[in-house]
Amino acid sequence: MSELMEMLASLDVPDLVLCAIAVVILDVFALCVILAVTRETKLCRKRWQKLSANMELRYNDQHYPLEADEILLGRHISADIRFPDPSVSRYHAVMTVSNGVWSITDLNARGGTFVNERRIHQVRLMPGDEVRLGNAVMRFGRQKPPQPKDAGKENRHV
Amino acid sequence: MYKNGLTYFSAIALLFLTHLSMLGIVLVRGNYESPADLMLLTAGVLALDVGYIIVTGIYKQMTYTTDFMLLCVLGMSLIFQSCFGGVHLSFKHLITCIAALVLCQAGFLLTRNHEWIRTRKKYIYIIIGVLILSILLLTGDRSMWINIGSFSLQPSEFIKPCFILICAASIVELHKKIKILFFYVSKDTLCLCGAALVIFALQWWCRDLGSLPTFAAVFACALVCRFCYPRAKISRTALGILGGVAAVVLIVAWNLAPAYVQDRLHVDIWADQYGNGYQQCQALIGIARGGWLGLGPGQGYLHNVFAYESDIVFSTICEEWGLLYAFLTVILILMMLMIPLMNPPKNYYHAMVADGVVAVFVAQMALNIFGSCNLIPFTGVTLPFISMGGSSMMTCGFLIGMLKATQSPLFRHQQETEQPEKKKSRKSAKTAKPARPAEKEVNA
Repeated sequence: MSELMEMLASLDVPDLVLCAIAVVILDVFALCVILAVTRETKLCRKRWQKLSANMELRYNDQHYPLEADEILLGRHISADIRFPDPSVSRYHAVMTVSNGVWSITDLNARGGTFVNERRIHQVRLMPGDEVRLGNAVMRFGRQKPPQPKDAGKENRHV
Repeated sequence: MYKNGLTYFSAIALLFLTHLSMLGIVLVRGNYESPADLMLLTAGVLALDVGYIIVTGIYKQMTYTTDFMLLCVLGMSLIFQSCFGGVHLSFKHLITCIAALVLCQAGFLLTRNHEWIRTRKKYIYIIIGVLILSILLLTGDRSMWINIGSFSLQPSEFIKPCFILICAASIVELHKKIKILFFYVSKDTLCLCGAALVIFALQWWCRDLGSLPTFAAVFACALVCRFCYPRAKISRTALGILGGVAAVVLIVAWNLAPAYVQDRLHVDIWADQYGNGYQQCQALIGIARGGWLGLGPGQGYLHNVFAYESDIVFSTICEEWGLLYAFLTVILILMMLMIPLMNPPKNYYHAMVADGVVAVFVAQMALNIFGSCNLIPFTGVTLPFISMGGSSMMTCGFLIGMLKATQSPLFRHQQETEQPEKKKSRKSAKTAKPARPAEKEVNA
């Protein structure tokens, strides 16, 4: 073994070639890891969709996908979902997800939080529920299914 | 490991190839007395790789890329450190690398559950208190080191992950405000500010001004996250005032800095080549001497200069391995930190953890590399994963575990239902179909 190593060591390989090979391998490794990260990101997204049950809030023909495990609803500029309505408090309610089930908690807002016209402090939401913050009414439901173009792509694999 | 098998296999194969190509450079260009030294080094690096890959296979994670990057960087670090001043396996560095990998797993398992950490916040404060007390009582002469025989520890390093954790754990309870005089303030924010002040004061008292920017970076991230955080009531004006106060504090600190810091700030290293500027002169000469491809592993001169393996390690690598390889190593570490950008965390706790960890590493790398290049004064801060040092290496390992936890978090349902269900399913094959969740309504 040591003879082999001595023989290898005695080879007159230009430094430039040797270093170039090492650098190229390191670069390829980095690229491979980036590829793995992109695949993992897709996996994580799928896992999140499973956890969050792919829900969204619909308000005035606008769709707000729920993409964090804690969403703050309010009038303040820093709220996750903003409602420019004076009847909505700056920090009105917070939505959380657990086991694919979304809950809404009122943050002692003046206008109150209503689900299906019942004033609540904390309640679990079901698809199709109507949520009202002050005078702002929104609908809690599943996100729209993928576009037909994407669906066609998915069907090709089936 | 599951799915993505081909990508993972390619990454593992390339990881081995990367280390083997470096060992090939050592074989051809290195300064070693007998091939046995090189064989021992090869065995050490490969054992580290194989051992950790087996361990990561045990835990089911959502991400393995951070592990690959970490393993690659640690293997490179082991090769670098083992070649300084002649090729030999650095057992000390190998042990610290193993400790870093173990703590990476520990950090991952301990910090991925944000509810668990949130409920144990007070224990983190207690740990910080114990570490501060140990610095005050066990280190002598305003030092940060605890010497036990030939073994020395730097407790301030261990404060870093704890500080990030209290920053992250307190961010989710900002809406719980109490009224003090005329102001509504969050109790957690007050506690955090108090802890930060104590830590800053301790760093100042112990003359460890190198670590101060690192803690300041984490604290700044925590403040910015609070500004961005939905429930934060910090206005832009308040943030502007905070920025102004920070600038004033910086100017005052600059003027009140101890004499040795003032010397470093104003020294002309080339005029004082054999005095205060010796290390930096040698570091710069080393970088120039190494050029793009370096002199060869173990062929440099910098191993004769104090702190060649820690404070000026970037220059030592540049001298022996070349600027190209040194840059690639830094880029690899930065890539490891950038993974959360590709897969953003889904809650504020993990977002703050990721921000804090990145802030620590970027601050340390900037201080070390810019210090070696004479762009800023020497701070004595280590280069993460590359510099020799047990405390630093273990902390870095734990921090990377925390970063990994942000990529593979434990969500609420897993804490509340999945684990009991798993236990139930083990006991009985039949599992009850989960009932439609009943409405839990509380009238306001």
